[in-house]
Amino acid sequence: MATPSTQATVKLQSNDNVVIEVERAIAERSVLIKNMLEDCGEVTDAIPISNVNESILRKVIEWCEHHKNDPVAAENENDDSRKKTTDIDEWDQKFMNVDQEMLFEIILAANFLDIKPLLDTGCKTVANMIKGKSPEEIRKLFNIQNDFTPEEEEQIRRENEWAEDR
Amino acid sequence: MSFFNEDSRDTMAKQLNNTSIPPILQLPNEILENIMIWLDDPHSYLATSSVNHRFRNCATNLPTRQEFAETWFATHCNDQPEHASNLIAYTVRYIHRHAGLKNPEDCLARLHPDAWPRWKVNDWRMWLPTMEQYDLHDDPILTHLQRKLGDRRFRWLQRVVERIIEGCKARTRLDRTEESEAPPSVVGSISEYVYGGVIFADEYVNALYNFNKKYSPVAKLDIEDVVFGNTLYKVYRELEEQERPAGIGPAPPPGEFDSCLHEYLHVMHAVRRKVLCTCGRI
Repeated sequence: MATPSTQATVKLQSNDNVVIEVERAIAERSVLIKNMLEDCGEVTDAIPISNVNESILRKVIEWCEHHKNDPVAAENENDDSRKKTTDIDEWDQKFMNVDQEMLFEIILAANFLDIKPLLDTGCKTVANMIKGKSPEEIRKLFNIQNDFTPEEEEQIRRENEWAEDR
Repeated sequence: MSFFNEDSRDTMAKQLNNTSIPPILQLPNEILENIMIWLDDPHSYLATSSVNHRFRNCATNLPTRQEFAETWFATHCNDQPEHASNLIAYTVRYIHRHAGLKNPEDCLARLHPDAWPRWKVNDWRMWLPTMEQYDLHDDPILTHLQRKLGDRRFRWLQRVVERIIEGCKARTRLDRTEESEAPPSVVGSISEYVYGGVIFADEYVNALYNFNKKYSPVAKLDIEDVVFGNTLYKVYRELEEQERPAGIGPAPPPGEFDSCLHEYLHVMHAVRRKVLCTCGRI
């Protein structure tokens, strides 16, 4: 299971050059970092996390700290044992209660660092924001321009008609 | 450390620093799609397909639709997606048998397993569970269903059916290649799983699942299945608010898959009897 190691902490360096020292077990919530540590053995230098700035990195570490005792899903177990739920636990809901830009940055960081549960939590949070909204309301929410022509819109409306609630 | 720079995700995980593009549109497609699969209902999913071209491409992407469908069934059936997939395939075959039939006698003959010679009943293509256990008398479900499934939805159901027929044809081809194998008798009729009005849903569904796994590649779930499932799901929830009609037997504990199947069969019975088929018989 866990790799034998004497190293208790690792240093992570954000792209704005701030070094943060964290427990190795916490950093290893990131599959990217975990694999790297396994490949490289002892790493005493700070690991550059080139796509993540300090505030987002601290936020991600905060999440990893809170979830450090969660069972880690085995890699090949994503079929039968996966019990999917769209629920988000209370702590995570509060954690994700940030402005849109930060939310998307957290999602990108989770994607880059390969922290699947955090990525899913972020995506579920956005999905909850979309839930129950009309296309126009979704555009408004995310400040998206409607780039369909009226003809295209009419065609899409007809294509989706079959599924409407009567 | 070059390790990170060489990572393919490097370009996707770039900072959200372009202020002219809305943050959500700076996400890579795979993340937009990952957001869509967690939507709770098919209408929200379809709404995303009408937002703009970028969203539309993601929402109409076949693997995304399929994963959304799998996730939806996994979260709404409290069980493995494979089971939901079987239930849907089962339902659609069921509907097809009725929808495609012209006269009631024909319908009766095709639907009652006893009307088939024994050897044919053992042929999986002829097999259909009997629903006597779910014979409802005049019941309030019908009001629900007639409201829920009008002409338009029925036409849509036919489309779903057509898709499944294609799947069945593929299955028939597969069957021919395995002719040496004994016909599956593992599934049997649903009555084998009914005792005192209670269906041992797990055993039943497991048998169905193992049977399907062995003999038929189950058609992958798609958005159409979710819309259909969602309709049924809403009907179940409404039913739960009301007094349970007589004749349906005691309900298993809520939240269990048994309960889901129980209600499912309950609803399907009514759909079949009053909406799709005019023969009025099982």
